[in-house]
Amino acid sequence: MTAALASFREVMLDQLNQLGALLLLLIDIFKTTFSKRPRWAEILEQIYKIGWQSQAVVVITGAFTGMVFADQIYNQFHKVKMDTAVGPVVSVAMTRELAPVLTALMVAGRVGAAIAAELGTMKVTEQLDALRSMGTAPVDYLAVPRFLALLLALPLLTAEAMFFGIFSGYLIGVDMLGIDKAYFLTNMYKFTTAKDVMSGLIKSVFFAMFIGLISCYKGFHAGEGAEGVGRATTQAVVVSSLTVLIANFFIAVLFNAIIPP
Amino acid sequence: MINIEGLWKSFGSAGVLRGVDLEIPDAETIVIIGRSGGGKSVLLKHLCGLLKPDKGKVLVDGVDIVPLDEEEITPIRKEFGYLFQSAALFDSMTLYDNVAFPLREERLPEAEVRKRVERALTIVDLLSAEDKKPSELSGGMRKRAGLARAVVADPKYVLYDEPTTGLDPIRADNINQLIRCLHDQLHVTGVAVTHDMVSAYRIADRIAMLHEGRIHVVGTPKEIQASQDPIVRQFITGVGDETQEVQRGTATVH
Repeated sequence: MTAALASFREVMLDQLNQLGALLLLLIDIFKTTFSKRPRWAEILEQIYKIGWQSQAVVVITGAFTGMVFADQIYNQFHKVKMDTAVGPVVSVAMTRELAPVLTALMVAGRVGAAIAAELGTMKVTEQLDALRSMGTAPVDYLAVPRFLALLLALPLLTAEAMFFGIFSGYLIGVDMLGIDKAYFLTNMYKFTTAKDVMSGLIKSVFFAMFIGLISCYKGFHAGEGAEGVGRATTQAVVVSSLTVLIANFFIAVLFNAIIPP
Repeated sequence: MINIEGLWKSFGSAGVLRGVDLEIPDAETIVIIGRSGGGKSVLLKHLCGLLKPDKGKVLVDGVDIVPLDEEEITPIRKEFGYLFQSAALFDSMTLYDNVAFPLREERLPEAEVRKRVERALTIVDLLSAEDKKPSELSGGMRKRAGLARAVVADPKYVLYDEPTTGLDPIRADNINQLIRCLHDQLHVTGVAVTHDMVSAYRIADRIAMLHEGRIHVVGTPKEIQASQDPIVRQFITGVGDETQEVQRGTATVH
């Protein structure tokens, strides 16, 4: 019993330590962002890698989610003669929940893993020490450009996923399932507000912060050797994804309380 | 001048440095020798603040760098060049960009950067490989590129971590000559850690032996070669510990 308690205490202390270190890294990133000259070349390179190169994944995710969602909603709503509600249900779901969450999860998998693996490899091959020995802070040179690129790219990718999700839902609803185009669009415009879109985009900013922070932290604190880098990469994806899913609930509840739908 | 006073460092329960005291005067090349895993690289990393000791002082030109935070230590680190054991070149950059990195961080004009990078790459005989990525270079070429990056910004101190490990004898001698040349012509203060005694005799003004976490002996190469201290003799002659062999029952009786 005492051993179990001691072990539990150790785990909790370790988690608290990591939380504290994450917070310190976040403060360091913000401080560096506002106190050092921006590294535009690195920021643009990361926007290209994180934003531009993630588009295919995000477009496919958004489009197929919109398509399957429209089809499933139609099958249920058709039973109660509410076919024309498919449009607004798809668009509200895509803008408020599905696009921000699924885009964040895809980016956490693709980009979070890449960041943790790259920084982790740099750590175990002494490249981070080399940077520090030349008077360059790894947070300034590596973390800030990735963090800023994610903050810019993820909302744009989310908007892209929203568009392709709704558009593909429209194609399935109108062209395949035969819902009247005018009713589909009218109801969609009527029930989808700017608040829905904004709530999704604001969420994506928070998700970008979580993914950037966790992935950089896991990379900077990777263990020794290939095994350490592998573990850091897995942890970056798992912890980022879980954080996105858990934070999504609390942000949604908060938004609903502040700005009722 | 670098002064190390009562330096202690442990990782977990393993004490690596147990009260190291060492003085490194300006324009001297000192070589720290000792067994593999004995804490030589750890000691080197303390000299420019890459590691913080548990206890003790590291005075660089009279300033104790131990209590300084990362921002405060940055100007002092720029006085150092560091050749890492693995060279630690940036994978994503070409050889040219690697060597140019410390100069670009200083925001020097690109023409000046080119002039100095070409000079450094010529010294290490790698000018023709400037467009190659580190993954395209051999181990020896990476080491020489690391040396070019370490000295390109004309540092006051250069730290060499195993500068000749993994090189063939001819390349190793080239590196030794380069280190000697930096000392003789540019009066760079050098600290090298190695267990390659040929290299140590070639480049050192003084040799310090790190043994069981402390500096066991300091002397000129001649003094070290003539030393009758059993620990020093055992290390420089490369003869194994007979007592341990007897205890393990592996010693051969002739």
